[in-house]
Amino acid sequence: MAEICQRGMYKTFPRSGKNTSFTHYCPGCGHGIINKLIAEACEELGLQDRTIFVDPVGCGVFTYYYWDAAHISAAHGRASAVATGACRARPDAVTIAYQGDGDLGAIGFNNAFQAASRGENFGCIFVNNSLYGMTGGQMAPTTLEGETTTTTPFGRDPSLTGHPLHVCEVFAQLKAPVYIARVSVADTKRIMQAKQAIRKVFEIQRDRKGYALLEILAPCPTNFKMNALDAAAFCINEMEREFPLGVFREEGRGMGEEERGKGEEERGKGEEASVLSLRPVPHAASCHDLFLEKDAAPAAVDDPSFPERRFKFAGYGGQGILSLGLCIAEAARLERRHTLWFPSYGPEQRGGSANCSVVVSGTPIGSPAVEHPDVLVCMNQPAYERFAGDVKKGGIVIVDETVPVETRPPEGVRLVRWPAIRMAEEFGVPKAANTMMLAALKKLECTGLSDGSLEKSLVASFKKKPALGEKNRELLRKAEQTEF
Amino acid sequence: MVIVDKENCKGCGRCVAACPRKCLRIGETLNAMGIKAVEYKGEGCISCGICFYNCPEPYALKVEKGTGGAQK
Amino acid sequence: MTKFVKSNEAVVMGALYAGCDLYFGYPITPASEIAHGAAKWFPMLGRTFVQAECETASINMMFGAAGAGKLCMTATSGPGFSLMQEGLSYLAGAELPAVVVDVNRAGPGLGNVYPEQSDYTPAVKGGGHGSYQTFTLAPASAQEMFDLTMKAFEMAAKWRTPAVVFADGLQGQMMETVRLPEREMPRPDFSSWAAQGEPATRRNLVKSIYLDAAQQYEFNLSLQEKYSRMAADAMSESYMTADADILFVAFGISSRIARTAAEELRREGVKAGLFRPVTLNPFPRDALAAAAKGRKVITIELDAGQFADDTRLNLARAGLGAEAAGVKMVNRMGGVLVTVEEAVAAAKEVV
Repeated sequence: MAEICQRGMYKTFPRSGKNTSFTHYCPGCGHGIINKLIAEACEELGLQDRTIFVDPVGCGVFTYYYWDAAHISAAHGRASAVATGACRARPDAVTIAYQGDGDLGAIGFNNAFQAASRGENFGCIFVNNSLYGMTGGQMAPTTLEGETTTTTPFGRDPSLTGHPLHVCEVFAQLKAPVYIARVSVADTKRIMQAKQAIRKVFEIQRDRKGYALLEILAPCPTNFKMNALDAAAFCINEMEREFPLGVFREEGRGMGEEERGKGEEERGKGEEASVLSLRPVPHAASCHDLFLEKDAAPAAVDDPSFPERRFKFAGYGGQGILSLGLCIAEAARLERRHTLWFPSYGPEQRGGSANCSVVVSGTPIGSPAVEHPDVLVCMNQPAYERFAGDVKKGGIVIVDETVPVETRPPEGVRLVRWPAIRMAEEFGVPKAANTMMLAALKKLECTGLSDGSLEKSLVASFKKKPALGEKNRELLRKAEQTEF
Repeated sequence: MVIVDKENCKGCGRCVAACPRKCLRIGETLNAMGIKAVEYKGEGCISCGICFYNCPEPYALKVEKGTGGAQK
Repeated sequence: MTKFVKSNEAVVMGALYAGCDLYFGYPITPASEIAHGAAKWFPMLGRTFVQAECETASINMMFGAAGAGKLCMTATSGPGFSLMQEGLSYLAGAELPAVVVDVNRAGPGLGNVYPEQSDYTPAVKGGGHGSYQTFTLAPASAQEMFDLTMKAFEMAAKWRTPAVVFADGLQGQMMETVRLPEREMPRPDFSSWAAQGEPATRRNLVKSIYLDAAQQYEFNLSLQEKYSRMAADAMSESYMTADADILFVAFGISSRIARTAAEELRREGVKAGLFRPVTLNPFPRDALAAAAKGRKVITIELDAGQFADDTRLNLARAGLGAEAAGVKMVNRMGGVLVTVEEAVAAAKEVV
């Protein structure tokens, strides 16, 4: 004996606080019909154990009272973002977001649109009843021109509030969605089409085919201020005129598919090599596998006898200022000193000037700020002008000889001019001006670090180009022959 | 045949309008919520299920094939 | 094993060792390196990185992923953190574990990208709606960016509440040596409450709504009770406090400036010490009281005094009204750091 009755819903709804078996929906509400179809499809396809429903804020907020499957109740507008998180976290689940027209069309439009654009693996069932139901019948993006709502008391005036938003048509511009359709639950024929479409949304998720959007036109008798039958007629006679029913995207056909082919032909892809390519992601078995370094320096040891030194390196981006600082820090690590490096960053870095700070210490480092460096290296004039006055008494300023020194550094600070840029050019490796500066630091014995460590660190900084590392070591030694 | 659970009916009338055999009607008596619930006229049901799918409530209507219509 | 890394990258490493499976984020200076590291390393380990369309999306994607029973995170800075406050309230309301890293930049408004600690109130007191709290940790080094990110996941899972790693722009950019652990943390089992899309979790419901006022009241009471138990996990560090006359109280980057200032003062014969809250919520009130009793307290901070006020509040609640009333503050805003000299001078003034 076959029976036509509700499937996929709880028999009673204790989550409502009462043990009744009727819904919270108003008489004649489209949500009710849609809720029944969704529960039925989920049950008939055997997907209740696998389904995660993402419930909206709006009249659909209490679907967790009814649908017998797992639920996550989202913030207003965010069901598509929440569904993105859920389907990414549980790729084997069937994730279904249920959203209204204020929720999806207004506050959460971008979340829904971007999720569709990414082709997230969830189905979005979008109920369009042309207004905000739960909050009291206000205008939604889908409100019809001339429609009276509590925030368009004289009818929606497009000159003030724009025109109804066609969600399916907009989403149909995207490449990723595999199914986009608009149906209605205004009469028997339409309900049966909606039933098939809802089933399809679940099947697409069951088979992990991609993103699906199903818009459902639904009557809201309460806020339309109509009886159930007139409200249903409104859906057919007024809403469908603005929002025609139909399928906007199906697998293998639709705007996305056609456009894709055309674009590639026009670009003549294949004839010329493109700079764009998708590369395989290298695989790591574990964090250890990913982060393990073969020659990792051992941890620092405390040595209070080693005096702390603070360095500032400054110049123009491209002069290797940041790597020179890193080279000192790495050398310090090799000698098991505590060390710290930080660069200038943000818009400062974009403007072309670059500087970094390095601290080397025998004990754990307190303040990272290098307010008064012991050693300042300047590769250009602005760097000198900005930092030379801060150098600590007894400290050293090394400036490239090209820098015009108009003001002397403070009393008790040694000024050293050094032809770093010129030497690098003479040696035929203009990019090695920073290595030339390292030669000066080494010669002046102002780092507190051994020559061996400095050289080793320099070579190691060219890990990916070992030949260049050796070349720089050679240049470093050559530069040291120059007298101050 | 159609079985109505009048305690779950909100009396919207969608099923009455949708029934192809016009065998449902809004009743005269009130249910516990104070709503005039739908009722089966007692004959004519062909168990097509159209009333069930038009009804916004999950448990107000169901159709059992091969039985006589009933009122709960 | 050690590694010389940028603090922002240490955050990603800490998250991976903690078993974080998903990263959702939107770029913002000075937190972007966290997204860069995550974009590279999460997929290499077969985990998920999603660049969200905005911070509102990031935090709600986290709601979905955490609701589905996985550890997840995001990282941002002030403006993005503001956008996430609603989502943090929902996470707290649904009792979901998740980790948000805020690399504080200067505000208000667009401000600039240099260090401040001015997100103190939203990061520590809960910046969204409703009476909720986050578990908030304040790292002060690359090592702690790693360790406390791991800890944040542990605490988020233990207390089923969002955890905040509260850093600043300078720290984010800093490279230091980090010692990595031998083992990754095991994945927690959330199947008793999460919506996992599996038969065992079919009846699970993740929500923050209780329509009935009495129920919502009961739920609020249970939350507050949970937050009071969280105090057991407060963490702090006391440095040279045993015989101190002057006590600096500072967290994060400011604590390192205070540490150097305290050392400087000791060299000059002034007995200074440092108390550093490692967790800002729960606030290590008892430890602060022990360190501050009978001492002159100076806070060092990069905000307008939000932290000084909280220090006063905690001292007063610990019964140290006189110490609370005597709290002095040395602060800077706008991306400017407090200098060691300023901290030293303030201490000498008090002595």
